[in-house]
Amino acid sequence: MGMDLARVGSKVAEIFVDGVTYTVATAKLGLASMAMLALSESVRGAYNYVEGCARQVDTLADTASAMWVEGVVVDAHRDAAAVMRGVLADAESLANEAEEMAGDFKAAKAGHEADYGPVHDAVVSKPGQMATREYYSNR
Amino acid sequence: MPSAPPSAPVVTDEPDGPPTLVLPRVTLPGPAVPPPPVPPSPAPSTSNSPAALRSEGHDENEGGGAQAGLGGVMVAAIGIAVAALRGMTQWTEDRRQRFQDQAPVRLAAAKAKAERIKDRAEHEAALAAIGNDAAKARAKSRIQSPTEFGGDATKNKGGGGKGGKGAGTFGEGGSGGSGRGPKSGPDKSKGGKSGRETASHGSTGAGGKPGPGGKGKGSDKGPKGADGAGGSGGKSPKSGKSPSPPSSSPSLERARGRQERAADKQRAKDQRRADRVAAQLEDRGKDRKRHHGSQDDRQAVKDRIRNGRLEAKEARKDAARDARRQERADRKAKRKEEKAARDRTALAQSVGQAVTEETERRLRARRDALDPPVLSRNRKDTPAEDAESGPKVDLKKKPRAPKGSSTAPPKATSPKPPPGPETEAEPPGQETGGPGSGPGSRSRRNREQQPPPRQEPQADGEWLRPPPGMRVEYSVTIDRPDREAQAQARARAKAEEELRRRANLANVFNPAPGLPPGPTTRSEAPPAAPAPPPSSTPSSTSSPAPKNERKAPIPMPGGPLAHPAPPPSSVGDTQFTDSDLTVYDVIDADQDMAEEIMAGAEHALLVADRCQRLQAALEGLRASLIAKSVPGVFVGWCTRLIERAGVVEDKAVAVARGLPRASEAIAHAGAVAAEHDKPVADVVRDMGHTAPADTSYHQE
Repeated sequence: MGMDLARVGSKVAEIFVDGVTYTVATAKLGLASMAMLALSESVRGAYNYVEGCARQVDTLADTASAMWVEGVVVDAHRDAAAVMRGVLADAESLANEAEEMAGDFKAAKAGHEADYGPVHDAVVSKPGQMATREYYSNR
Repeated sequence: MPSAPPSAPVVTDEPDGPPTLVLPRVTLPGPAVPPPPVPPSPAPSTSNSPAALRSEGHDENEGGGAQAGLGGVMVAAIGIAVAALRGMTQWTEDRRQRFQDQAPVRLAAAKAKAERIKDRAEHEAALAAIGNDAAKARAKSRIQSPTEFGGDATKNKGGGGKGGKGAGTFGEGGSGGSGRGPKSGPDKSKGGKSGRETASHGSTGAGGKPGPGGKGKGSDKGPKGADGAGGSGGKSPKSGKSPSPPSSSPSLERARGRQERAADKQRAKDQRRADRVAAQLEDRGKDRKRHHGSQDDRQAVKDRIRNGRLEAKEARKDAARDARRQERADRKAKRKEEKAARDRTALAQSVGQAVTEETERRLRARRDALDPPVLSRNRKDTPAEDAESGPKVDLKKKPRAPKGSSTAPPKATSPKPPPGPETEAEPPGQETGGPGSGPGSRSRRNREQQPPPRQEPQADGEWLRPPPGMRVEYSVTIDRPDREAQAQARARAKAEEELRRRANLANVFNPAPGLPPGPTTRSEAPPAAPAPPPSSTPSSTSSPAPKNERKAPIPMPGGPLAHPAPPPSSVGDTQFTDSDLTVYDVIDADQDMAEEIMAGAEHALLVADRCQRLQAALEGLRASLIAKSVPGVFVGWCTRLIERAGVVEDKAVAVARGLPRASEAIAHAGAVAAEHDKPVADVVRDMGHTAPADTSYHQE
């Protein structure tokens, strides 16, 4: 899992290293979106076990209290479960954040394509050479 | 006439085949004026003697030097050359034509056969009525073929079509070729080409080539082509191209009529033949496929027949082999069973049949039951070696002793002797004593078995640690309840035993934890105590019946069934345990969990690291976008994404920090549990008890 996370993360990072062109940038935005989604999933999966641990500790504490184990011991376990749940919440929010970020990548791609795609097409399809970009400005 | 010499060599070059023509030409340039000496190897001697050249008959055009005669000579030479050429081409074409004419015949025959075979097989296999239909269809096909030229083309496919085309081309070639024959070289060459073109249209183009031949040979070949066409068309004429050419000339219509007639005859023949073949092959030929190769069809049919036979044989052989194998296997199994039965009987005789029978019964019952393999082995051994049951118990105790905490080992060694004495003393003393020893040993075993599960999980945890984030680890935690359940079952058994023991043994002088049975034995039979191993052997010989009782309990400890058996023991080591959870469970679980969670923290850190890199990359992207003056929302999105990456990183860091905290918390909880309750549990364990008495028992 760790390897997965590392791979996914490095993939996300490497996506924007190359030279930037319209085509490359939009394509990489799409890739980054997918990579972040994968990261989110892997984070979620990686920390699911924390949930299992917390549940187990809780049941353990319940059983212990039913056996009249000292309150200190039971409480210690209950606290530990609570801490775990807190971490779990963090992990969950991390996964959610990553997912949202994946959505942002997607939205950025869509926005840029809708926003600038036609211009790119026009420039690409223009016969002959492009003049300086200022020449095409409309003040 | 300088132009003449070059033209001549050109013509000569085309024929390729006849070398005789080339040689005379070579001689020509020699006598001629400088211009023509194109051929590099002129022979001066030949040039000097024109007569010699004339004798050959070809070279008079220039050698004679008379320009007036040149034209006629030229024409004659060319005519000869062309004739030779034609002879060559016609010869080759004849060969081709023959081959091609025959090919459709073969093809049609083979296909007809194959079709008949297939149809026949299908029809007859399905219904006799369908066979009648097939006959009708045959009759119809005969009728149709004359009336509709291409009617049966669909059935007989390419073969017939080729024949028809051949006929058509022949008709054209015959008419046009006669006129062209006498003409000049180039025209002839064209004629040949046209013939080839037509040939290319119809696969059996040979028919068209005789046409250009025009002269004597052309006429000769005309009939041949007609025959070939007729033969081929007879099998299955095709409507495709044949109709168009005939429209041009009446002779073609005649030819067509001939072809049709021939086609009818041949068809009838072929059908008859095919029917015969089909009748022979009906049985075999259902599933066979047809190839489209003309010659291959027959062979393919034969091959299929052969293959069919071979396959049938092989199938039969295989079936026979399988049957034999099964028989052999059955025999072997029977023999094995018999052998086993004999062995068992022998053992029974040696030890005492009654004992063995009982053991066997139990054995089978237990095998059927769910017990783990180890137990089953023990049981198997027990029938063979009755006396060894005692030593086995010892063996189990030994491993267990080391497992116990530092205090355990010495005590464990000491308890061993008591069980032996018990076994000896019990039979004489009380009936219950025998089984009682069993349960005592069990209780120890149970303890042994209990601790290992706890320790095993730890070991598992350690093994699983390397892949820390893996879920496999989590499965480990899941396993626990099972262990606990097993532990509970064992604990209950022990508790029962403990009860009995305590009830029986008021006088306890406990030197060692595992020893409670020991004292009892000593009280009853002090002398026996010293030698446990010998005691086992004598006991086995002394009384078979009690052994059985003991044996029965021994195998049982593994499973819950064991518990009912023990009660009879004299001073049983009674243990009461029914716990869903023990201190050890809690401590182990907490420890494992702490480790697992700590491992997870590393991954969170990794994610945080990647997020940082992503942030940097996004910043680079934004910088380059700005540098390239990319307008629109992209830059804004980049800014947003950079922020998001920062947030993700922060959260990953939070997780990375939170996980150690969680790990610490659970570890602390385990420590608290150990601090409060472990000492008591340790003492109980060290004293050889499964669990302490009820709390009220300790109130003062």
